[in-house]
Amino acid sequence: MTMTETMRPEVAANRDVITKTAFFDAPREVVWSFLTNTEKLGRWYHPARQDLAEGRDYTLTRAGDDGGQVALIWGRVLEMRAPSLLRVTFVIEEMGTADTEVTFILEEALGGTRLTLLHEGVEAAMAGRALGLLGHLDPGWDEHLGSLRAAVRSR
Amino acid sequence: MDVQNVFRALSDPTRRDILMMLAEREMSIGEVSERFEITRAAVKKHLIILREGDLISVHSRGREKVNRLEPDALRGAADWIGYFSGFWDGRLAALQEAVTKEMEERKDDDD
Repeated sequence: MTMTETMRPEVAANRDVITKTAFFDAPREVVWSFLTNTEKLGRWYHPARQDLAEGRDYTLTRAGDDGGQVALIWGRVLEMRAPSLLRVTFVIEEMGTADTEVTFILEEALGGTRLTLLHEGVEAAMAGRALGLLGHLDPGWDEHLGSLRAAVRSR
Repeated sequence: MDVQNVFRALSDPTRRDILMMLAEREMSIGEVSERFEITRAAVKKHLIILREGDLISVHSRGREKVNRLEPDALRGAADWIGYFSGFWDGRLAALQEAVTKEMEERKDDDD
């Protein structure tokens, strides 16, 4: 499987995407378990409330000040094709209700695994949040916001 | 501008309400406090976090200190990409470390 086969055309054409690759000296199944298993997620990121499952919401938590678990990042598992593709929506507390989308692609490479990560929609989500606040400003601000609005519209 | 501080400042609904009030005009802590059902100390804490995100600045008006909205921090949309890019660099490095450790443990079990 190559990247061009797995990457949806609308992603390839989208400029608002962060792309990262990483190599692992381990089979894809092992890397996959670290992306989907609640306890293993906690070893490099944050533990999930439960193992990830397609079509279900997920929540990553951290220990709160009162000793309880606080939701940190959440979203919905859009697509799961073990051990090659995981696609989730990714909401961060600070972004309110704005969704971004994260895709993990695992490919066999050099006897190990190559992971490609795509994070889409960050700029649109954050610009949307900023516009939501700035929309309450005096109309005199409009001209300053023209370029930002244009940037959001062009997506 | 530290994007993390902007995130933190925007994460709270009360702080977002304060920003919108300050969008209309600058206000002292007392004026902001009158409009919320929380203590003055709590309002002060929110204002400090907003200031750390460079979303507001403090100026003297006579004997009073007033808080003024600084919309520039909100407009730095280009920086969000850089923030998350760095975020994933850190996470993926941690993932590589965790997987390497797991593989070493499996090898030890086989021996």
